[in-house]
Formats: sequence, structure tokens, C-alpha cells
Amino acid sequence: MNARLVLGAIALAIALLAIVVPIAIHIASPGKDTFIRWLIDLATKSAWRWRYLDVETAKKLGARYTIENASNLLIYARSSRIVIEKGLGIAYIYGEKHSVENYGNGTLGVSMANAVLYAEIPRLRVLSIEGDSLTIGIEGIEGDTLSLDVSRSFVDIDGARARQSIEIAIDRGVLRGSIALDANVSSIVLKVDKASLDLDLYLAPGIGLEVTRKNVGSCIIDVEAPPCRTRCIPITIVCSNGIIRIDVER
Amino acid sequence: MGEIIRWFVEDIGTALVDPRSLIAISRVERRGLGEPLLFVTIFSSATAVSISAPIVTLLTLLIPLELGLAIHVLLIALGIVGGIALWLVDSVLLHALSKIFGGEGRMYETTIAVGYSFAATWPIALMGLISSAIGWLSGMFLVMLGIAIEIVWRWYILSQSLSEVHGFSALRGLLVVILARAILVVLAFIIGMASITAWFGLRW
Repeated sequence: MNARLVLGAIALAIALLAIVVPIAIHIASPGKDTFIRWLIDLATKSAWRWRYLDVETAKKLGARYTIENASNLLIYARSSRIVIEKGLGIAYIYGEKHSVENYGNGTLGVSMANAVLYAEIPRLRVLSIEGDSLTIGIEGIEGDTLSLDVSRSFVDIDGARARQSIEIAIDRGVLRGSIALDANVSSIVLKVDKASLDLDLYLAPGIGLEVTRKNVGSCIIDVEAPPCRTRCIPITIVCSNGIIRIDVER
Repeated sequence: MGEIIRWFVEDIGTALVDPRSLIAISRVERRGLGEPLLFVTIFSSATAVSISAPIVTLLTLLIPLELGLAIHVLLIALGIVGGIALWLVDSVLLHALSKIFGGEGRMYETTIAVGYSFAATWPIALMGLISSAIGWLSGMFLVMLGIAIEIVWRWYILSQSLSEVHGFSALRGLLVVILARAILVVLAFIIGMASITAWFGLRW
């Protein structure tokens, strides 16, 4: 095979691909998706097609959600799955019964039955959740209240932030990660029932703590002396089977 | 049919590395404008899509994604129309300048030479393709790199082709190309300024 034929074939193939690929990307997946992700999707889920849902259509399909303050947040359906996209990440909710609710301030509420959430959003630190209801805090977006209500779940939160209060209830499974608390946070309530909690709380400097324990099976609270590297007080809480309430003193 | 496609593909390669031979073959075989037209159609639409790919990617963050598809289809159509228009304008300009510089070729052959030179746009298509897999900003830089490579490559093809068509040296061919590009830039500037003046004249 002569060199001119090879060079010509390369040039022609590239020109034709340059025409076809952008169109194929738009047909196969949303424009924000990269070519690589599209190829992965094509290889693994070739039968799927993307489509966007307006609120009314989503409601008809059983989803209940509102989009208020979370900018650049897309919620759409891919086959029977609801997809939440923020930035370049994607969260898939697999299963037939699920709903998504946006509480504003970047906080999403997802109600699920027989469903699994798989998040690929780097800033959405929730993975593989099975349970009845769940609220997701998106990292970097501050919310007044951070609340998690999970049953039979494994939840990994990291870098969530709460301004006023925090309430976490988990029936079974594991909850772990870190939450940064604003100076206005007045109380932290953790309800753990047959579940493990491994949580780092980061409080603003100058805030004291009063810890009240109720029905705590095994719980270790470790408060490090300030100042910490990030100008805040880290508190590590490891416990299971109980309720722990932390009141914040100023 | 397979043999025709093979010749076509080989002609693309020849246009890229040995344009002088391709012009000579075209002259001997008395080829028409069909093949150069195909060159212009394919490569100019690929270029139009590639150059705008990062911008369309950026736009799809703001506009409904369905519009992104429509924009791409529109760009392909614009690329074909714009490519053919540029082909004709460039041919007339290069032929006129070649005549001034003592060229002996025919307009018909100059048009063929300019048509074949569109093959040099393939680096833009390559960069556009790569930019589909990366961010829009990096994509823009890549496309600009592709344009830079294309300019050098096309000037090589045109200078060699014009040399073959008009029977003067490749250096003189290069001079003709540079002058033609300078005139095109000045023309574009004048048309742009005239449009702006007319626009404000109408408004005020």
C-alpha cells in the first residue's frame, strides 16, 4: 500500500469523522457530554436515548421535583431512569419508583423505593443509596439546613456544609464523611438506629460544645484542640445504635 | 466503484504531498471540476464544523441542546456554500495575480488547483475531532493550532500547483498566494467596515 493512499485515507477519514461525530454526540447524548463519555455510553448502554423532561412530564412519570435555586442543574430521564446532572457529573437513579425534589440552595431531595442512586457528580458525595428517602447536599453549595434521612443505606458524604442546623437520621447501614458547620449552627442531632456513624464535624473557631448522649450504644467523640489547619475545630464522632445530640455554645 | 474510491483517496494523499503531480495527471487525463468540487464539499464542511465545535459546545451550556444539533447541521450547509464561494473567489484572484506574474495557465486549471488545495484543511478537522473530547477552551487552542498548520500546508500546495499550472517557479507561486491572501484580508476588512458604516447609517 503506497504512502499517498494511506495519507489520503487518514485525511478523508478524519474529515468525515469531524462532520459526523459532533452530530452523533448531539443525537446520542446531551451536548455537555464529552466524546469519551459518549463512547463509553455507546459501548455499555447503546440502546439508551437521552431526553429531557419538563416538570409536567416528570410529574406524569412519577417524579416530583422543583428546580428553584440550583443553577445549572439538569434533571432528565434516560429510559426509565432519572438523571441528575450538575457540571460534568451525572447521578443515575435506577429503579421504578423514585422522585427528586430540589429544596433550593443546591440541596436535592430524592425519595426512592426499590431504587438505587449512583452518583458520578464529583460534588455530590452520595453513593449507592438504597432506602426510603434521602437528602443530598452538594459540596460547595451551602445550605441552611443539612438533613439526611436514610434507611438501610451506605452513605458517604464529604465536604457538605450546614449553616444553621444539622439533622441526620440513619436506620441501618453506614454514614461517614465530613460536614463543615457554619458559626450560626446551633445544634446537631444525630439519630442512629442499628447503623454506624463515622463523621467529622468542622466547627468555626471560638465555639464550644455541650454533648448530650441518649441511648448511645457505643459512641466515641473526639474533639481536637484548636486551631486546626483549616482554622476550624474538627470533631470526630464514631458511634452506632443511638441518638446523639450536640448543642453548640458560644 | 471500489477502484474509483481508491483513486479518489489516493488523489487526496497526492494533493497533500505532491500537488504538482496531481495537477499534471489532471491535465493529461482531462479531468473535470467534479473531483475538486468533492474535495471542497467534504473538507470545507468538516472545517466549518471543526472550527465552530468548541463554540457550539460552549453554547450548548446556555441554549437547549436540541439547538446544538441544529447548529451543527446549519454549519455543514454553510461550510459547503462558503467553501464553494471561497473556492471561486480564490480561483479568480489567484488566476488574475498569476497572469500578472507572467503565468500561462488557464482559469480552468487554476480552479482545479485551488479545489485540490482544500485537502490541506484536514488538520483543522483532526483538531476539531480531538476538541470534542476535551473542554471548549482547550478545543479552541487546538483548532487554532490546526488552522496554523493548514495555512502552511495549503500555501505549499497552492504554490506548487500554481507553478505547475502557470509554468513559473514555486517561489513565484508562493508570492502569488501571499499577495492573494493579503488582498482577501484587505477586502474582508473593507467589506466589514462598509457593513458597519451602512448599519449605523441606517440606524442614525
